[in-house]
Amino acid sequence: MRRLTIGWLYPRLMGTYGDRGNITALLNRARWRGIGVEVVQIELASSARDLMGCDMLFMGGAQDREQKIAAVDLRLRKGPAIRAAVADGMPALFVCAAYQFMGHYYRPAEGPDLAGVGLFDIVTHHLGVHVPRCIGNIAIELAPALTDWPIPTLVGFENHGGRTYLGPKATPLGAVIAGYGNNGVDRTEGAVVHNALGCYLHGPVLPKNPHLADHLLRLALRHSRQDESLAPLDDRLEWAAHEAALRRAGVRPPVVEAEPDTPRRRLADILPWPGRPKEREHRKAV
Amino acid sequence: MREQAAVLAGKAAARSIRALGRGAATTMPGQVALRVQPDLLARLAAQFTQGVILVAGTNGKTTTTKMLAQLLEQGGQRFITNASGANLVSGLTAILLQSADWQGRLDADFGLFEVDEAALPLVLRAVQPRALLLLNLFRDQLDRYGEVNMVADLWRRAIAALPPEAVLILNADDATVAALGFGVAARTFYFGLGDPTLFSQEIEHTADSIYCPACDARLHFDGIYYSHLGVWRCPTCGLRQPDLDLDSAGKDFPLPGLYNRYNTLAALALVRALGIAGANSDAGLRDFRPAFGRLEELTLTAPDGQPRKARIVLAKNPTGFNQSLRLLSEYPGGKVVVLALNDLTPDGTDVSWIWDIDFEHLVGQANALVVTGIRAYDMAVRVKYAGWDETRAPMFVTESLDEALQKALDLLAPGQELFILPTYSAMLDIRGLLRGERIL
Repeated sequence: MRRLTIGWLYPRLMGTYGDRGNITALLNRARWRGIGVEVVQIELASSARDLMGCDMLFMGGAQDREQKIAAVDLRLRKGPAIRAAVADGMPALFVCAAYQFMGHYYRPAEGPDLAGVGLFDIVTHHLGVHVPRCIGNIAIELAPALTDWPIPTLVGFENHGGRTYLGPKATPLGAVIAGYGNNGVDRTEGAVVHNALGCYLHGPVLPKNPHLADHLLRLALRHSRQDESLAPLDDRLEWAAHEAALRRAGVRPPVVEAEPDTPRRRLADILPWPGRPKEREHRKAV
Repeated sequence: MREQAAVLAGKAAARSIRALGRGAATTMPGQVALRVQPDLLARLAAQFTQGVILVAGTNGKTTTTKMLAQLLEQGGQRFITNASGANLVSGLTAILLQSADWQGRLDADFGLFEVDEAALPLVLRAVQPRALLLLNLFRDQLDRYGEVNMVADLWRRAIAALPPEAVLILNADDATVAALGFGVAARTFYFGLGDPTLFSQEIEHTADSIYCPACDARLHFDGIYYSHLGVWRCPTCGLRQPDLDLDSAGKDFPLPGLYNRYNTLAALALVRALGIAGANSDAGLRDFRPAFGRLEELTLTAPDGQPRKARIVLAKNPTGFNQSLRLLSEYPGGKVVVLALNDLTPDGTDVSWIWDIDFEHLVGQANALVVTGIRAYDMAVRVKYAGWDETRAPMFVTESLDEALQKALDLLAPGQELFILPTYSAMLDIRGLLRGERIL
């Protein structure tokens, strides 16, 4: 029997916004396929070794007070282990505050910068209380590198005060169709490095984006050198929720049966994808 | 002069809204009048001979306020209250306008108002309350209210200005709320369950305030009643739960559910703290009937022409929802459950919170489930991932409330009860459909 160990970083501290639903989604979608899953809760007292023994990592958002406690532990103790694990191919999902932590730094409206883990080539600035938070339904189109999936969109709900800016080495997770995304200006959302994804999508993101959940499960199976095939599930409710979220974000749901390249290419034309001009030409030629 | 103009404008607006059949005019007239005279609320509220009572907290405001109304009535007090649940500055102003004469004069002993968490600092700027009752602080609508700690900080700043003659009635079992009474000028009065036999065996996922309000260390709980409500102390700095001025010993609790015990105690604590003659009876709530949409009982006619019992239980945030689910187990018979999830402003536009509810308690409890509302499919996915087994009990999903209620009635066998658990705007719509009546 196939087995996976999912490391859940700071479930006690970083537990707001329903992000535990991501663990519930991974757990169920693995078990429905007969894959045994163990969830390891990685808390302040856990060691870097506990973390390295996992096949996948997840960390969610939190309140400010809890964030500060986790930030110190991350930077001093777990950060280097997370960077090493991701470099080794371990898949990971970091949502909201966790995503910000994985950048170089977080610059609050007042006071000194808070150093981050430096996993993603991103920085986050809080522009002050007079600048409105980015709150609302969000829909993004996946970056071209990730679009071998059945549906090219991700849906969720964002609620963040900080604006995240991508450095030259960062690849965004996707392009914003509706909502703010990283900073509300450049229309990028999230970041990807190796098999680690960071994003602002609450919702939680995995239950109504089952393609993303399965993508992470496949990566985890691959990383642990197991058969990565996943039997299809009855995802009608999940896709109905995905579509409802697209509608609430003001996006007309894509017609999946249609020629799959059409909507993506239209967006790719608008968006300058960092470091992917050749692929765009290739796609146009097709 | 200006005040009179504001009163006239507000009252005229209310008349026209009602005349046009555009609702019960619970907010708009207040907005109109405040445009003309921004400090109208302060001027109106200053007229109560016995002062103003304010009730705030994430859960239980409407029920507790209704309980207080009953107690005041028994004490022969004349009062004005916002029973419709319009609890922002505009809503309070509208209620006062409605009760005032055309010159803006009020004739009542007490003003009794529930106040929205986020609006409390604004209301306190206009109204000097004689008593402020703070029930609890749970995670609720992060998109609107922000995080629990943020709301607590806003409250702390607003409360600091209360004078020594004001009374703060606080829930001692909620560490964040209890700590609001430390070091303030106002008199404090603490209530709590004070009954270890009610401790829960498990800590719910929704627990928020588990860190010390003074030093941020993790709190120790001798026992937890639900969510983060319990007997707490800080092992690091020694801060502990204040002594209770009122606990559950010897009280009658008219409504099921632990959360209603808190509401009952809160109401009793307030009348005791103020020493209101004739209202200060522990048995005064024995025949209390729930507020609209809060465990409200309806009798509906099923397709077979027979009556069926239905209960509407407002479920608007994780803690409230968990309590509502727990309540279901207090009704032993067969049940059909309707879950109605909307994502409009009064519900919170972010539906992530449904993943913080322990829906595992619902599985096995209901004979059938109907899921509805604007975000019906989000809810259906949530319940599916909580382990709902469609081969054992059916689940129907439709975004239409109308269709959902029809379906639920079709499914409801004789002797079974219908439980409807809606978010706020869905509750209003469902009541409208079932009773042909609109509240707001």
